Amino acid sequence: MSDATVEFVDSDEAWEIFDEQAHATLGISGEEFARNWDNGVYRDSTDNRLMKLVILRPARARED
Amino acid sequence: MQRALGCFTNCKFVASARRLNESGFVTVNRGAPVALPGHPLTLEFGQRYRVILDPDPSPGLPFKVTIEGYYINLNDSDGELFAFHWHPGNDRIRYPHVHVRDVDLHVPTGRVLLEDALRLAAEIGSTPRNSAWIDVLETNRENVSKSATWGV
Repeated sequence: MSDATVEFVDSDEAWEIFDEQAHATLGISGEEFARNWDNGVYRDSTDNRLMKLVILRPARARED
Repeated sequence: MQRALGCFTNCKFVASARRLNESGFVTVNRGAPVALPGHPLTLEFGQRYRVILDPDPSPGLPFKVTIEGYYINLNDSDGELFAFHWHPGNDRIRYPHVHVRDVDLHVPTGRVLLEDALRLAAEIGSTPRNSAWIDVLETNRENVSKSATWGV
């Protein structure tokens, strides 16, 4: 029986994961969620799911 | 955490920060829910962390990991059952808390570890695949408590 494994991902893949979860959770892109969050769109929201995306948001802005 | 979750299921953690003072996240299954065995329970886990210089280092261990927030969700077939949250930098609710299904409250908790949520999952009905799972969870908790600055 093996332990769960761990893999380090780079910034691009961190953004991919964040983007996947933004789509799965809210049906929007990660960039749209980040923009909405920064603009206070969710300020009065009581949606528990937002915090998952806050935790998974990459620290650095996406590089094109 | 790898050993703890490995008592229940095979899955992969991904971590996004490895440089000193870099903030990143660690999650399982790329953030998607992970099925736990023996019961229609799924787990979602994510944690923000930062690797820092340990102000009180042990010999040969100059670094430590500091936790900056987490979510640990246990879901059943009807959706979210418990959602343990701590995200002090991003919410009006700055203390660790739990959301319980159908109750619109932030119920205060202490610091909740992945190990604690897994133990709760077992109480609900999930069946760990490792018979030594309690020992693993308790050993992890003890190890965390040696370096934690709060809540364990």
